[in-house]
Amino acid sequence: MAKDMTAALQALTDEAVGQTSRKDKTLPEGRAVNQIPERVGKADKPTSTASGGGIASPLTETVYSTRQYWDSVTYQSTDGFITWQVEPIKKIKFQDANGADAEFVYAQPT
Amino acid sequence: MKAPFGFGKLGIFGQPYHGLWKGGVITLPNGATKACPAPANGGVVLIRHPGQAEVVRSPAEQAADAAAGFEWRNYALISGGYYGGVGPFYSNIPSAHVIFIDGAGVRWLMKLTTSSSYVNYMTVSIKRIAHIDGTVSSWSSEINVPIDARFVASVHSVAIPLITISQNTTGREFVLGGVVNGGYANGLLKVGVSGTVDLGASSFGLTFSNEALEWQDRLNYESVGTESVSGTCVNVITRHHLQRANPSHVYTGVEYIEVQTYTDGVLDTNGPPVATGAYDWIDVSLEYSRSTSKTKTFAGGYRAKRAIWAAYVDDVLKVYTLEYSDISSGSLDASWWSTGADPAGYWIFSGMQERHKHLITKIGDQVVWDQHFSSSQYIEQQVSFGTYGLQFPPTSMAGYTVDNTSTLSYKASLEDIISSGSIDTTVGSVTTWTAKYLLPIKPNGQRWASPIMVLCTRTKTSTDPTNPTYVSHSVWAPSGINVATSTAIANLFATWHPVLNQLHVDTENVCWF
Repeated sequence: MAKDMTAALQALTDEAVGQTSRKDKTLPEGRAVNQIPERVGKADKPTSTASGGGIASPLTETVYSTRQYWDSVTYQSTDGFITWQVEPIKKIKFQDANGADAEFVYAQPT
Repeated sequence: MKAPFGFGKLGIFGQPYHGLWKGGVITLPNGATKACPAPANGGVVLIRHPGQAEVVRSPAEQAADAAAGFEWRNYALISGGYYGGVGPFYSNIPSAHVIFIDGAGVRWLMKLTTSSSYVNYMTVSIKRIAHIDGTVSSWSSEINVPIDARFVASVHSVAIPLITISQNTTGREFVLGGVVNGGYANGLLKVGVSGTVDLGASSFGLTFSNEALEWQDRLNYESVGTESVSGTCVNVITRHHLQRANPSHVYTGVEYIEVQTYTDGVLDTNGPPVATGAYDWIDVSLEYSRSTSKTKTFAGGYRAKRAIWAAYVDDVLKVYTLEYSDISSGSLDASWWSTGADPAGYWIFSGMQERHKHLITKIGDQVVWDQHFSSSQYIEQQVSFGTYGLQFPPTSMAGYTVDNTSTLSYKASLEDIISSGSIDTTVGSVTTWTAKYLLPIKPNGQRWASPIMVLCTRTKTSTDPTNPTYVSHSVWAPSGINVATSTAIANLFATWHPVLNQLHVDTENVCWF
């Protein structure tokens, strides 16, 4: 018991001054694998449907006259003398890169 | 809160460049300059959209505005006698223009035209302005609006073109006129307009009213005469009669005193002594005494007045006038008084008479200058009646009050008024007439919305009466503020800021923006 106490105190004292009996270990070398050779990939374009799928950029407005507007809003100059009547945009039609229609519908400014 | 605008929000929308225009640029509050086309003159028209809110800027925006020299106002100035493509409002065409804000707050340019013949109406058309909606506004059809017939001769086509003398901040009230006599108004027509424009309705849905404030042929020369007499005039004649015996004519020592008391001409007497066969009477002496409180006070003479211009200070109309008066007045004692029942009675007055001659220039009720000449003299008047009649026939012979002011059948021109109000001095054979009054700062054709006038002294001599000389004293704005100057009127330019109430006087063209 006394010997064990003495040995434990010695071990703690050595560790405090940076001396230790621990031996560091290292991981083993990894397993070697073969390189994948360079090659060309190919994928078929999915067929678009009217009811589904995403919007393909870019979106292009093809007909300006189909724009729709909210009722006009009048802005007044600070001096009260000049008014500027503007119709806020309500809806704009686009075609995406696939020729599919897309609409932007804006809220009425309040 | 800023309004949504497109995909963003509206920051601020307006005209931020304000200051004094001179030499082609507006000097901004931060000292920087902004190039601006030359105004036609210093005339500035204030337009206030009813209920327009004050501009609110955040501290950061205020700092940015100050750095940029921007000033955001909640009122508009139409500066320099132009409105866009309309060109100079003073242009020598027989049309006047007014910027009118209707009951719905919509801005219109109103064109008013007089006919080349004398008709009791003006032709009115309107055009929407100051509204950006992608369309081009054009003049409406024309309507005829009846006008005060007295004003008609004051403007006549190209010879005396109709111009806008001044308008209030909404154009719902304005003054039209013709300009002659070196820039004075030949007549003034105040017009009121109310309602909201409906181009399809009769009279565009508007109600017009008008009233001539001055006109070319107004009989403006008046005779003034007020006279009143009060109190009692008592004259006492005491006659001493001595008795004589007949036929010796020896005085008996008996004396008879006859007392004649005339109270306002009415005799009360104990009568003369009565002669008998034994005695007669001889009138040996006479004493006269007077005890009178009867006094005549009077004021009489002539006066004339003409309105020469008009301007609005905010929405208060100020009419400029030249007034002449020459009134003599006094308080005279009555030393003799007949009853009026006398076949050829008379009254005798005496005392000091004061004469006061004025030539007064006013802007509204404010007296800009009162040129005053006075003199006094002792006078005696004998007013005869019966044979010759009375100048002011009284209703009561004991005392009376007469107010005999009347308009004479004479139109006093401005020159009549100025000449009559002049102060004359004669040295040797040369007479000099001086008169100090307001003159228009610019002659015909340059007066639209330019209410500024110059207080000058005109000196005219009998040796060269057709070439008077003028000396400037001060430049006046309709608000009553003025700037002293000795610059000859021909070289003077000035502009008045109707909100800041600042008057700038210069020797070259200037205009507030």
